[in-house]
Amino acid sequence: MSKFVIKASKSGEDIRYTENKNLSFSSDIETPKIFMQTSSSYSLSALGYIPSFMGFRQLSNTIITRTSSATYISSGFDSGDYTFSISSTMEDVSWNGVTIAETLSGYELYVSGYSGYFFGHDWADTGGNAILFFDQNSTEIPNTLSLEKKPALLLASDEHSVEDHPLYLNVDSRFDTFKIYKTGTLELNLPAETVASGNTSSKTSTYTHNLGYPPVYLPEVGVDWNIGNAYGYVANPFVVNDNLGDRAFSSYPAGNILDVWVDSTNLNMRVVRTEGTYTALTVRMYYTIFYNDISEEFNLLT
Amino acid sequence: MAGGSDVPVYKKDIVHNLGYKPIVRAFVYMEAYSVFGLREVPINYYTREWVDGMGWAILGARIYYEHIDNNTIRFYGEQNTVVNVTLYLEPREDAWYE
Repeated sequence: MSKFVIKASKSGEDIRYTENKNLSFSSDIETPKIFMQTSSSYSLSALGYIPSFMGFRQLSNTIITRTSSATYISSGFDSGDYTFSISSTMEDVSWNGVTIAETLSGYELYVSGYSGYFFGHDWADTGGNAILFFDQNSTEIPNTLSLEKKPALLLASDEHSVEDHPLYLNVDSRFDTFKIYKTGTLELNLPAETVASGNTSSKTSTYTHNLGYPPVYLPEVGVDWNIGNAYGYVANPFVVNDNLGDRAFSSYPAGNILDVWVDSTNLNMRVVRTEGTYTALTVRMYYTIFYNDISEEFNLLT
Repeated sequence: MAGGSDVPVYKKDIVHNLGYKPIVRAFVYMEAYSVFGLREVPINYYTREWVDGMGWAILGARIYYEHIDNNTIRFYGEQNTVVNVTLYLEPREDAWYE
């Protein structure tokens, strides 16, 4: 059965026939609906299920990376720098980073930075930030929400109506969504070199976005990512986007250490090398910067 | 393929047939010795195993994924790990918002 679909394509494409990846919008494809951004922990009992989220760390100037028990690298970060909080890897501190866990009173969002020591990483973040959207990460039937009554554009997904929970709507203007500002490529061409004991070598590639606040970016790359240890074989060129799933912190940092972070002016990609002999390596990252401000806070459920 | 896990690792493929590598966001609800709550993959954690005559042994474990080609994503983890996966279209190599 045919149905009404609203679409917008990128320039140069025939909107009637182009593939979905060439669309900037389609009402036939679910758009993430952001209902909350916060730097604080929050009870999600009103929602009744575990929503999806993005977690961020607000870094600090006290973060260091130890390459042995005796030597360390100063990260050079400050509290204006943000990066992804994917999963806490602390040995003893279960609540570090951003997570959602079940409590006696329902699901609870926990927001904090990393703090502690783990295999050569000394983390002492300023704080954390979370972006929550309705995508479901548990199987319960969502609770009915009591939302402010105001004009809205609602487009339901197949087999649902606009009266249904926002989870089942492809578009819902009552909530925020991700809005692309810029896409592009950052690339580092690292030479073949030998780094002497006690020294480091680093290169940084930067895109100056000048938004005046730390924007959300993709891919979901953090800092202190030891690509040299996480991979038995490092492809050259090394495409960051294609290797996101296979990060590991569980060793002393050595080899090529990748840091990606954002501040109110720049998106940065840096590789630091510690003592050792290196072959030439190209590190490439296809980035997307969104208009969304990591540090903004709002709650559209109330 | 990198290792880093002391526990037996199982794998599961998602075949999306998109012809390129989409953005992967995957979550696991953890109740392990060292990590608790909903966590985004990749996850490094510890698990405990009772060994007769030795007591509790602490084992390293990982949940992670890789794009094995432009149409398939392979997930790795302990047996019976439940991973909630969302794939997103990504305007990346052609960078059309340049």
